[in-house]
Amino acid sequence: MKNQKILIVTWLLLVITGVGYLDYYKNSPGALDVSLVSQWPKLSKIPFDSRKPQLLLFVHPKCSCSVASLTEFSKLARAIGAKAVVRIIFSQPKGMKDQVENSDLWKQAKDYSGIDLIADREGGEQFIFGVKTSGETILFDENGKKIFHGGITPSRGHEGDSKGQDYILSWFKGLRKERNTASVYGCGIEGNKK
Amino acid sequence: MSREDEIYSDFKYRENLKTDLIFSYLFLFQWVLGIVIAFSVSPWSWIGNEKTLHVHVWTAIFLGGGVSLFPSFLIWTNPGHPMNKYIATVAQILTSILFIHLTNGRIESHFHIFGSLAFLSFYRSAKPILLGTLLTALDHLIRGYFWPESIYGIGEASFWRAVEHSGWVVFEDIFLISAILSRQHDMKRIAANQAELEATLASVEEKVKDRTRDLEESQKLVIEQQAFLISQAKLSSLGVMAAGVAHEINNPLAIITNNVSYLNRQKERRLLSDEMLSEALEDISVTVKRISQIVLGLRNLSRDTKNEGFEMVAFQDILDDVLGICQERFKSHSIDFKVKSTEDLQLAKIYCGRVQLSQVMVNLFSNAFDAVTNLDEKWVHFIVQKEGNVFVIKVVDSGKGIPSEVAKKLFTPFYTTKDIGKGTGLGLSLAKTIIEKHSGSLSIDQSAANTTFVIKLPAVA
Repeated sequence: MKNQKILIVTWLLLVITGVGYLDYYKNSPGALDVSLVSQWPKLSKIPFDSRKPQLLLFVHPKCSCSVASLTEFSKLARAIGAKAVVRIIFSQPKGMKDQVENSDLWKQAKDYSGIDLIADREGGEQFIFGVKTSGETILFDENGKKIFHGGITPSRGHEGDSKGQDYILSWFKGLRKERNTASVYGCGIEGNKK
Repeated sequence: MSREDEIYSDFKYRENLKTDLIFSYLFLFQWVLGIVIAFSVSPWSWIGNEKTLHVHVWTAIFLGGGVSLFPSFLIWTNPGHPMNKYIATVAQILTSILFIHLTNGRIESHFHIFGSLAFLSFYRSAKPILLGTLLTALDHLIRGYFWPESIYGIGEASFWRAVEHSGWVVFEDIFLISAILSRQHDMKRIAANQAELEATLASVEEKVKDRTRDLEESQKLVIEQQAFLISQAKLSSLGVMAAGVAHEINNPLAIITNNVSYLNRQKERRLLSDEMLSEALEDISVTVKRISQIVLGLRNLSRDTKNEGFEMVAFQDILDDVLGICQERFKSHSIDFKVKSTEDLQLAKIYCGRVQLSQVMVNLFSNAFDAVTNLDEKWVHFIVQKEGNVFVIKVVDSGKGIPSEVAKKLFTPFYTTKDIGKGTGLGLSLAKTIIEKHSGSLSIDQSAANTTFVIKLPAVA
């Protein structure tokens, strides 16, 4: 009887620890360096439309956590409507040249109307824009000034309200919030080990 | 503990046992399902073009295994234990948390909580439901305070958000707990009824046992009395035979006495010759033999037949035994006794108990004697015929038959048409029993003009 109680307590401690670790993992953000870019990079081959703000999402084609990022991005795009140019840039890791446009994420994104899809075939755009983690979202105003850089999901792979979404939508409504960044959750884009 | 409480406890134990087994299988199923979900939704983590197994997969295998296998193990080793339902509750809530993580917070996976509470209600106890609800509420409150992003996805969540989430769970609880309380009430009622039924049954069984005991004692008494009456009947029949024997012996004794008196008279007159003496002695000798036969016949007929075995016996021998004690009575009452047979009675043999069959014949002859004694026409015929493999023996007297309503009851024990003290009513029923022991039959021929008793016996052993 006493042994059974010890076993039960041990089990509880172990599984609660396990769940705690899972929570910790879910809320561990990916790498994010917002200092690399403050203005639309001149070296970028992505056309810049100076009439409107540009909203960009960078994703790894195989990142399962970015499904939530894509979903939240599509909600943002619908809310913003024609007020901005909305683009999703898919990284193309080495050896996955033909797999980008066949990936589930590309197929999911293709269904979204009003959003341009770009395959970063040369692999350069992610470096130019300083993107390290799948799911990073960057907002530039019509002058090319970076307004927001960060994630738009509340935790790894989870859909729902987030600080990033809240900031972007507020900006389009003319409201200015203090913190223009938010944690990003996703797989590492090529060249980054985290 | 009252019997009602015992039955109710037994009900609860059975419910616990059944539900424990359901959960033990459910946990295993959920463990496998978790692994399938992990492989389907997020099998790999990527860094560029390098992939590793996703944390979700490891979590599904190991954390999922820990959450599922330990409770299953506890249940298998100790099914029905009261603690199991609490372990199952904790495990099921943890499984819900795991599924929500594995499906990346998919709204539909939150339904697992509601489904789990419904399953937990199978324990027919409100405690697992309340525990599950408490755990869910605590999880939301604690994480909502310290780490709101992990549960609500936003940096600041008000207390009311936890209340809102928990409120939906409480909404389901109201229905589940109502159903549980209703079921508990029904179970208590059933237990009370069963306890009452058992008490009534026990009381009835006790009464039945008493009545059975009384009945057995009465039956024993009846059997003893029956045996006594049968022995009395046998004694009575023996008495009849003894009376018959006494009567039979009187005449031969008279013959002997007459012969002795004659010899004495002749001797006194000095007229006694050798020839006279020889004749008289011859007469006396024959008569003494006659008396011996009669006494032998009585001795044979009065033997205890309980252990009598069967043997091949000539009809003539049986007839001699019987006539030994009946013949003189018939003669003295001018009853004409005739033997009619298609068979040679010296040669015609039957496999039987000699004494038992003789007793039957004595009974039938005695009844025939009583029937014709006061008639104008007095005769008794003993007829033996063979029909195939059956001996047909008839005892016919000059009586004009027996009315059918009397004939129906004639072989019934204790039934008699004679005056009180004249017969026990057992003679014919005993005779019938004896004949049936010989694989034969004893009946009355209602179609005959005269009273006819018919015995049929197999001619072969």
